[in-house]
Amino acid sequence: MPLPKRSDSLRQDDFDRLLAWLDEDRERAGEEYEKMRRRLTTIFSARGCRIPEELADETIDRVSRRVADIQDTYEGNKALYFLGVANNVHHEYLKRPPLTTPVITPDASEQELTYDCLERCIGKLTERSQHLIRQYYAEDKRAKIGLRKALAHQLGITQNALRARALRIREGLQLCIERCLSTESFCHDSGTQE
Amino acid sequence: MSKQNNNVDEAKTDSLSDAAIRRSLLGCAGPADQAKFEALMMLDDEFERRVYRLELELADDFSFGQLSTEEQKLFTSRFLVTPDRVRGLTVSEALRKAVSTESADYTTQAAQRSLRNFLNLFAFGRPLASAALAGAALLLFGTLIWLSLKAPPVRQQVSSKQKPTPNSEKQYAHPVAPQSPGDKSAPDSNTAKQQVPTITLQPESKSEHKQTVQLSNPGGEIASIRVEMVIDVTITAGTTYEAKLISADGLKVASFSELKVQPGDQSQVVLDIPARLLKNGSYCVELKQNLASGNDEFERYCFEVRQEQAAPPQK
Repeated sequence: MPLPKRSDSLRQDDFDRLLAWLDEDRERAGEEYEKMRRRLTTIFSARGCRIPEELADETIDRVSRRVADIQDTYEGNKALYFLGVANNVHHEYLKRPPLTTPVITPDASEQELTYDCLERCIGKLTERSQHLIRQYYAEDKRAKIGLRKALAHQLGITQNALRARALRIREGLQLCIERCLSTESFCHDSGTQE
Repeated sequence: MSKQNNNVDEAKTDSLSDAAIRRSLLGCAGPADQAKFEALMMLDDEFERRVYRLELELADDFSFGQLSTEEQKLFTSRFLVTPDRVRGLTVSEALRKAVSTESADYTTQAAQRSLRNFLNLFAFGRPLASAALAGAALLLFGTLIWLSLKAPPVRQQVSSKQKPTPNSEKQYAHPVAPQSPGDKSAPDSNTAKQQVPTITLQPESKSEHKQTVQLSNPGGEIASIRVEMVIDVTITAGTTYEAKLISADGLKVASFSELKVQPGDQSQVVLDIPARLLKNGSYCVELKQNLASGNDEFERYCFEVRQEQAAPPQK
């Protein structure tokens, strides 16, 4: 896994200290950093913030600057320290005038690529998983409920178990597509093709 | 700090339901559930993974039209706030398209299987039946030859089908050469199976009702629709336009640039929009002229998309 990118407002020594505080192993520290950023982003968005990623970065920056003072004395789960700082960042965010932020939308070329990658990734699934996904997502609304009930019955599992199974496959598809997209984007950017 | 740790332990032992997590993701959870959600999110890897899966499910439900109106609003305003989630939604949209295509293929395969099973009845160990089948095939072949000699040329039939009827909403096939430069999705006019429904739109300010474009087509595959936008300006040589396709939720679905005006009875800018980007609902195109002075004014052209299950071809 590549090491995380330091935010522009953060000094290199603060950033290095943060990574060292998160884990002695630099690679695992990188993973912890990404995990923390992802979690904070989810929390800020669940609080209705329009710029969750920026607020997550601001939180991490502030923690980084504090690490030198707390690293010898702090006890407990480090994630909770992040959460405490996130609360402060959120309070300040609420005091700011409301933001008009642009809506993020995918561009058409990415949609085309996604479709191609999806086809490839579905092709990599086992026949059984392909069948399950096709049946699980087929039809609309009311018909879907009946179809899923019948599918669960056919597989001899509960509807909850079917949903969990479908979501596991869906998660795998998402990861496969993301990997495929990053490869494809690289090929497009560098003017090469597979 | 220890107080916080106790809260986390409590939260861990008393997890949240999927419905409560979905409410948190949509930014509408109650304070108690929200606090629990945050504590679990920060500390529990398994919970984080569960949340991720529910995020994917939420995007799928949005794509497949399974959220309530209120949830849809929350989804676009509160959930869709990071590029990762937008990418997740793109995958859901692609999945919806792929599954609907596969459903159609699946129906075709089922029909082929039935035919094969039927033919297998005659295939092995039944010489009498095979001879009967061969006779029937010969008879059918002869009939087809007779019909083809009697019937008018196929080309004539196809072209008469493509003529618009006076009362139609211009939902006819329109096999003309692609006009937007660089648009790979523009249909091939030589491909008989691919048809391009075309609508001609006036600016929203001058139009009294929305036109509807139908995406279901029993006669063949629809790869894209053509939108002709009538413009009312003096055209400067070399002027180009850019356009944004916006969904009813206000989301940008696609953008187009370097569009040129097509001369004719009315000056038009033509867009070929890949059908896979569209689903049931209203869309508007915001069309802006590229001027050196930097122009922020645009005209809106709105239309409705209807996508129904393909009906069996009528004789």
